[in-house]
Amino acid sequence: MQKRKTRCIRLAMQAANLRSKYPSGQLTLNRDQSFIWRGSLTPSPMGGTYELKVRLHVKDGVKVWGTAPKSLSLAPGKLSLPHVYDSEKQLLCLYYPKDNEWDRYMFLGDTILPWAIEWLYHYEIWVINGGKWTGGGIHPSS
Amino acid sequence: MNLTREQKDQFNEILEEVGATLDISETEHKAAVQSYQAVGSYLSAEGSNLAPYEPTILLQGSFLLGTVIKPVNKDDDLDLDLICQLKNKPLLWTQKDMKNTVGDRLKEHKVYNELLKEEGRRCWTLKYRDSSNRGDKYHMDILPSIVASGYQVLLKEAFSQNYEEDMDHLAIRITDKMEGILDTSINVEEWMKSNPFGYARWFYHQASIKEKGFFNLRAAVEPVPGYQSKKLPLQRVVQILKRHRDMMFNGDENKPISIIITTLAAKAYGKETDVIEALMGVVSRMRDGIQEKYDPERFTWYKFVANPVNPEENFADKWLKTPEKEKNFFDWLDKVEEDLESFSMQRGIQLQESLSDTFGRDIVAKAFTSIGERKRLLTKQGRNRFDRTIGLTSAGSNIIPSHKFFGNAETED
Repeated sequence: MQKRKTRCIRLAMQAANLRSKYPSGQLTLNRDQSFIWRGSLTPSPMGGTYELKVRLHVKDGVKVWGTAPKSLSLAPGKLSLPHVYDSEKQLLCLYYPKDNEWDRYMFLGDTILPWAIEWLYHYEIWVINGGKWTGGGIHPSS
Repeated sequence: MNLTREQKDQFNEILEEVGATLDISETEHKAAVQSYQAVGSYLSAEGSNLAPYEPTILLQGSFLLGTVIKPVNKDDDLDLDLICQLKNKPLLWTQKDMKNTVGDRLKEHKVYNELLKEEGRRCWTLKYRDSSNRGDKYHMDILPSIVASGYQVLLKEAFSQNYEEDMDHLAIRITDKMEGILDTSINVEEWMKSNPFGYARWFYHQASIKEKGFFNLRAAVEPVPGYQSKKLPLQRVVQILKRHRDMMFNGDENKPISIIITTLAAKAYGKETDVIEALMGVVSRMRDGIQEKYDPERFTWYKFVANPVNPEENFADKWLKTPEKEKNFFDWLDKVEEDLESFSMQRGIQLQESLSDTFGRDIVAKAFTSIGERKRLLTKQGRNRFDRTIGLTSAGSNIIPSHKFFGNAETED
């Protein structure tokens, strides 16, 4: 990944980038130096359609929630979604923070959203194959 | 079916993977070959009553056509159709003599004798059990037949040269209890003809498409056919159709039979190179291969599915006596069309559920897992392409950047 070490990307630039790359989404700028992007994503041509909410805050960083379906189906026998920070809130976990896989030098539209698409892709497979995650990744040691 | 190019590509990938999952593995193929070779060696061993007739055991049926699929239940037998070819027919042998000579040799074997089922109309059937730890199980139909001396050469030639429509020279002579001449005729020319290798040659001719390095036709007919993991579109279509039939009829004895499905599919196939296009094309044209003939003695019309290498033979001859078989065939074909139409209109988890219902949960789960793992590898290699509006697709103009999913471990059940 190319990182622009010169300066981190301003909120407005991030917003512009999202508007241009994912024009069907809706952006709401907030006074607390954050914005919220809401939009639809499809993991593959024959895949389902999912609504997501992305919040970027100048200090707190980025968070991604699955907002529709409100209750994502679980694989039979599983009690929570795979690779999430919070299954009930459907707060997705898309990268490994310790390796700085995402930081404020990177455009959301080039990283977080594509990873969300990929998460949804493997999520659909996870539901049908009895809960085997095919997307790779790591778990925090329990 | 109104699908975009990308949707068809994905659907194609799914069907291809389902087909591959239905196929037997190389290990299973080797095990089947070892098993029938064991029987073959026994039949032709020194001291065998069959030795003077130079017995050769060859595979026919779905193994020869490359359309084998796993049985629905793991514990069911795999079907192996074998031909026991004999030469140097003694002048006074009748069909009964030939059949009994083979049967006698099988009965001499302590183990085989236990495994021998009741004598069939044309074959001896061996419910073969592999004695190793794996315990492979085969339902072996052994068809005794007479061929002339130069037969193996004829066979090799037919499979390596340009296709010729007249396959009659590949016909073999077999026994048939229903013929009424079982124990009287010593004239081979009067015996029933069958042409499994002519049929196979015709099938491969129908299936062939211009793609480099795809298929070694001759290898298919070697006494020990090699394992082909890469299948031609028509072979995949036949595998998928047979599985659909297996799931729908679950062993019902009046289910549509494989030879009819295979023949009509091969007749209807239009050289499409995508499995999805081939499947749609075949299903839309399969009915055209069924003829209607009039029986003046019974004042009735009846359906005729001609054997392409013996047009007088009707594969659907049992339909007249058992109308349920005919009804089941058309109900099945209707259901295939309905299901394909449904699939084309469904997306995501709903589509996956439908596919599971139709082809079986285990098979579909395995197929999707394989596809998913390939995508993971692509991301790792920096080659997982996607499009922002339609998602992961090989024609996409963007690439998923390398990363690792993180998050809580799922609660195990």
